Amino acid sequence: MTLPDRDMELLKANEDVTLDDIELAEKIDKDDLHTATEERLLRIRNLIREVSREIHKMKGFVRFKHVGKKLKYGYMKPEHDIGLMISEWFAERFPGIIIILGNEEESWVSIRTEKGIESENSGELKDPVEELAEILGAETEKGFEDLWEKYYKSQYAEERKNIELFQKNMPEKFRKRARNVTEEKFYEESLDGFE
Amino acid sequence: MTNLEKIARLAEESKYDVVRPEMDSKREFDLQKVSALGEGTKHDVCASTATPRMVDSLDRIGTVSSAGICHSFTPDGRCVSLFKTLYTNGCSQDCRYCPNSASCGADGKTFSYTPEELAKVTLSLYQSNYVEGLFLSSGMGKDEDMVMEELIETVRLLREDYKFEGYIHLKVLPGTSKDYIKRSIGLVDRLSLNIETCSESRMQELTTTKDYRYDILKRQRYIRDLKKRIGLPAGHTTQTIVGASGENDKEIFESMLREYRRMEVKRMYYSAFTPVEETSFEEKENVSTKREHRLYQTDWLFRIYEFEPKEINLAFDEDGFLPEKDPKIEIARHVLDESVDPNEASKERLLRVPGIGPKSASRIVKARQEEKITKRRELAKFGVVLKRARPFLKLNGWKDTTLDRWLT
Repeated sequence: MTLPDRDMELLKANEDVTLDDIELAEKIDKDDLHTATEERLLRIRNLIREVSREIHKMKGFVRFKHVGKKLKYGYMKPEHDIGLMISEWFAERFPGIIIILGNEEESWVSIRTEKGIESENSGELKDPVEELAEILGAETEKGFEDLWEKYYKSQYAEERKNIELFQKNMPEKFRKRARNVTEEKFYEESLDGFE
Repeated sequence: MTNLEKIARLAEESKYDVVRPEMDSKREFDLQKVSALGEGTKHDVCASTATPRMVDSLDRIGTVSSAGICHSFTPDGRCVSLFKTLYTNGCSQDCRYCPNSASCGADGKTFSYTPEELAKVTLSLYQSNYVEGLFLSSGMGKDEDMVMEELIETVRLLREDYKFEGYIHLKVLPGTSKDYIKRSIGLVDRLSLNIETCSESRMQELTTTKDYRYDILKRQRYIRDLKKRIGLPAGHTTQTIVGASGENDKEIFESMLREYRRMEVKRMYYSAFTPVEETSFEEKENVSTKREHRLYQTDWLFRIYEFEPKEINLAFDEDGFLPEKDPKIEIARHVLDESVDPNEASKERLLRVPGIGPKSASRIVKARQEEKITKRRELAKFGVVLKRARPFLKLNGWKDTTLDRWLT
């Protein structure tokens, strides 16, 4: 009787998980968690859910810049220990291309080739980007921020303005963790008249 | 050799080189066009990118997700998941609500993409992780089949030449020939054809150039039948404009039943009518998004809660409109003649209590096998919204006053 591997992985990735939580989680199954009313089980359910939510948001909100044809990198500063999970997920999405995600303190580097997945933890984001760019003999290309901004704004229906819903779906903490500059700017502009 | 050097070597040696269009011209994207043709789709509500399609090969750009991903949200709170665009805003139809209509007084500029140009924009956004794929719609130009040919060529280019395996949702234009629908189906995750309104007579309120039965329902049958033969991973969908043709909610509900049961759509979407300046309908009144929301709740009761249509019919008033509040409350007042005991009621009966959904009903049924539920706060832990459920429940023989049902 135990939780599925994926749930255990998510639980262990939570920054707030304790050894007691892990020990208890090893003794329960998915159904126990599903129908739980006891505080300690509810806590485990919430810890798993928090990590799962952050993974889901980061998969959507991270943005890439391109260094030649073989390298992409993007800013990501997750609260939980999900860096490699996300970089490997993107590596599967873009085979043959090096994916680097990271921030001012740490970074995660992954690539998927015919030989499988290869990953590496590294320091500050700019370090592996500069090192790999030099090895590959390529430079950071102009990004598509202007294209995105034009398209993104075209999708806004002002007559349906709903700031609360925006804040719920794209909370500030996630906008900051993925550095969504365009959205942040447009959100602030759209706050006019909102109380 | 450091691990980063090894990673660089793996990248250089990998045979899965990036097949992508030459991006030297990326500075030449016509941003005015991107904006104008993007804006033409903003009332198309479907943002789903979930698909069960499996992607095996590594020789590709991108993949899909079984859960769907939102890449952004606009300040209206809606998800931006796809590069949603018109191919052209040129149109020979005279739809009175539409700014692209041939009869529209707006002196707007007509824009069109080429398949290559549109593929490049899609790949640029996708590879930077702004979107999960492409949602391609279009004005009808001079001839729907000519435009469909261009749409299919765009999708073919992405799939075959650029090996793009991201999500693709393609609109079928009203009146499109069966052969074009057949060619589309093998290339995309989802097809859709908007019914726009609920019946032939209501369609006549919107346009003189579209035949509801011939241009729309007949094409939907083609999609339904071809889907069964060829396969369409994320199914087909439709959308209606709420309130543009003077219809009531009951009429929309009846068209909803037809769409789910006969046309076998995966989802029906509802978009509250908003008048657009310089269209024939510019003077019409805006339809409240609350009305749209009630229709989604009704749709949910039918599709997820599996309520019978005759039960849902209890929610409509004598003029055929849904109540101001959640239709489930109105239905509960009719069908729950006695308070519901969560320790004894069947799952079906629990589902009829406002504030109890499929998940919380399952949790109640599972939990009561272990131990009797004696406190309301236990129900809250199962996800029950007590404020709404309380007037319809009975615990330990105690129930709240029936008057509360009417105040809910």
